[in-house]
Amino acid sequence: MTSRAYLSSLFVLLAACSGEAPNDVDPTEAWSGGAATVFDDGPDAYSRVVPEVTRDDERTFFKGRALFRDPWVTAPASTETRDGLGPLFNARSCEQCHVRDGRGRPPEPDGPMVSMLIRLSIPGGAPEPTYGGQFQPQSVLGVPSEGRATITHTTMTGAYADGTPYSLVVPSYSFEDLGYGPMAPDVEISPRVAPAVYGLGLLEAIPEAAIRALADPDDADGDGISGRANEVWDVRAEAPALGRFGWKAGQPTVEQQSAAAFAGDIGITSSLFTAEECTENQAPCRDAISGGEPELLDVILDNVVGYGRLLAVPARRNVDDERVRRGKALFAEAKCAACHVETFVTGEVDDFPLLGGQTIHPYTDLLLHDMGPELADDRPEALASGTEWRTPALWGIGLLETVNNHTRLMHDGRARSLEEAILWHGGEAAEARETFAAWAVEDREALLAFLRSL
Amino acid sequence: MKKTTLMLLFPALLVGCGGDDDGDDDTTGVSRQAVVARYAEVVYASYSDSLAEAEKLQTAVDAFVASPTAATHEAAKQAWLAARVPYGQTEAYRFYDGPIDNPTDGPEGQLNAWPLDEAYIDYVEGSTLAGIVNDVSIDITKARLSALNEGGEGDIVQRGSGAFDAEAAVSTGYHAIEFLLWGQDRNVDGPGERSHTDYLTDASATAPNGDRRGLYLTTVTDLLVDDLQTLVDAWEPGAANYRADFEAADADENLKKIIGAVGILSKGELAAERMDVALDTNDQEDEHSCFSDNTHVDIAMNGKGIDNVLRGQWDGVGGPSILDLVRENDEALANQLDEDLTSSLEAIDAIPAPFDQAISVRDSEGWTKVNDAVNLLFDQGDRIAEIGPALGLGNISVELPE
Repeated sequence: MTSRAYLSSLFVLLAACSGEAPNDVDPTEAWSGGAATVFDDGPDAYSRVVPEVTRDDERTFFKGRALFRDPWVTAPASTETRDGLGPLFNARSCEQCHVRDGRGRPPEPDGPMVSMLIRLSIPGGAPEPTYGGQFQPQSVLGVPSEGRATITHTTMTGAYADGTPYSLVVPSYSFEDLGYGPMAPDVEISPRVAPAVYGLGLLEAIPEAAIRALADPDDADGDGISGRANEVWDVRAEAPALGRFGWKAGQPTVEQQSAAAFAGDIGITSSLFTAEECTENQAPCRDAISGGEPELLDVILDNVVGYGRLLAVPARRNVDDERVRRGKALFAEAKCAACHVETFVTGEVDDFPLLGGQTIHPYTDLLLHDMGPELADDRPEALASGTEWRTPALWGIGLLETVNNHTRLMHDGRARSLEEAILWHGGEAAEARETFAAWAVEDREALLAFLRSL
Repeated sequence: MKKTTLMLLFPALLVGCGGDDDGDDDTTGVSRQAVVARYAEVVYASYSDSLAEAEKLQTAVDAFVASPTAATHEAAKQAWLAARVPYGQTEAYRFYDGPIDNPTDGPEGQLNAWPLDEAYIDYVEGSTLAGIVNDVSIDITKARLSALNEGGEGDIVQRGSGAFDAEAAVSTGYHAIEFLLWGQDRNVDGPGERSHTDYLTDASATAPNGDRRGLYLTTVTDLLVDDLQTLVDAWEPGAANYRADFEAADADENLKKIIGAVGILSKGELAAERMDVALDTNDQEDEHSCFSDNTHVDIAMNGKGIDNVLRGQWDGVGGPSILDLVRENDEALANQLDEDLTSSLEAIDAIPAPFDQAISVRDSEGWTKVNDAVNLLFDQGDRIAEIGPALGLGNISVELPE
């Protein structure tokens, strides 16, 4: 804990003792995750266990962390519980993409695409016939790689109302060295960076009714902002469910999200997803030795899921700073807060009771919004259209550079800063962007100061 | 909420208010600088011993490859087992980006990464021509094998830079040598059963590419010796090296690193990763030295490494220690730590060898003994964290990512 964190802790304590908050600052505002908040503003801020865990939960967390970080190996290995990598894959471990439990990024020029991947499909939603539902540039020895994905950029320029110019980089994607022949000419692609994994247990604990209450699919209130719930299939429950996780809210639970990533990203089958990501046109992939049926023990999945659910949320900094206060008011004024909803109260959580009943500040509604043609991937996912994206949580975002050494944002990491991320908002959020662009520089800086305090 | 808030904040408040000791004015003879200096001596001595044993292993491996017989094979295996003893204790010096695991060139991943990608190295059951050994298009050199190995755990933590090689797998280090000597362990009753005849090149050879297998073995062993030499060099006294900078740095900052590292080893690394996962999976080979069934020694040596650091000792010889400092500031905590170290080592000793059979049946006697040791190591890790406030060093986290 840093000295600044001590000071804010002291401040909170004093406020709590005196029973009233000075300067109209709600002292709990800094506690983004309620009791599951940690006061750490350093490089490990996304990697801390929620405070006050039981020994059993703490053991789950540390086991999960080890399994999150250890690489998977080619089958058959002596270590049978850790084999089954690939045959085609994006990464050897969870941690390879979810670096320090934080956000992935596009590759450096000419570097390998590591903490980012590209989803594939053809119109109608089926996987690309040869390469499947996801492009996997890595492979085990003896199985050809699917190839390389490369990104090129063009520049788009604009100006704020006060005349200050800005420029944005527009990515476009291509595939080279394709290992299994050409892709379908009508292939749809969706590039996505790895999202952060802290606070997932809290997001899962937000009552479904509270999320659905915010949905306004036909914009009945006429505020220009719709908000749609994604409806997806819960594999374990064998029932439809509200989508919460992923860039398009395509997964209903942390467990299913994790198992899908094991299958798609690492090539590890599980009781939820039993099939390898090999298509009919990838014989060497289908013929490769399996690591078991399934490859992932349920207990390993349980620990990894427990890890994500027990990762705490870092506390806000500088909540009582005047400029930050001003920025927060502007955030509401520009209607950013209409989608980036500040506060929820979590419901009961049977297996981790300490996550339940918490007042949390994730700054998301977990709903889908039309973000306009510039951001569109034109690739639907369940009910999500090609222009819709799920509002990402903003908690902890001010520590991104400290933890991950980069400031790349949005689903494909195209934004190089918080400022650019705002400027990329279109569709339902275009009005918010225009409002931001019309402000004087002091107000723009205040809004950014608020975001950096998250 | 408020109750939780207060519980969380009280320790912070006490530290914030200063505690009773916040500097170098320890009351009796032991100075913080002397404790740090003794730590550096212990690190140097243990890496020197690790290097000496690795050089013996190198000699034995060279003899084995030059003349593969059952006797030279057995001698190489014995040398490997001996080499693990000092090295296992040095793992207490990881987790603060020191010479062993600094993100730029720390050799930890190349020395000791796990789990090993066996099929990336050599033939495995069902795939007789797998691996680099059998891929004659790959030149087997130190530079090539080093490049083919993963960046290492330290690198994984740091790779926000995007600098690491995602295509690499674990192909070097102690466990690669272990695999090449013992072979895959696919049986329940004992270690791997590779025969020395895998290294023959005539008609009696039991696997193709015996010459390349021998070259791989000698090459990764040479790489191991080189890496250990860099660690010895980094900690050598009287040189312009890491140790010189370390001893010149603020003693309190050094103590925070040293103490945090052994706390992380106790909880996250040794207890959770190396023992507790296996208690869940009940997989015989979910253990670090799975080919040789030497995991019980790995565990004991990690435990010993923690003991060495807190007691300032190597090879039975003690010195000014962290425990001494704690005793001067908080005798009750010192006594408790003393007891933790003793009881955790005893609990580890009580685990029946081999480890893989101990963990294979849930709630069996062996499983329960491992479980007991895990809990004691967690307790010990939490207690180690208490040293920070006791010495006025502030909070020391023992939960950080490994």
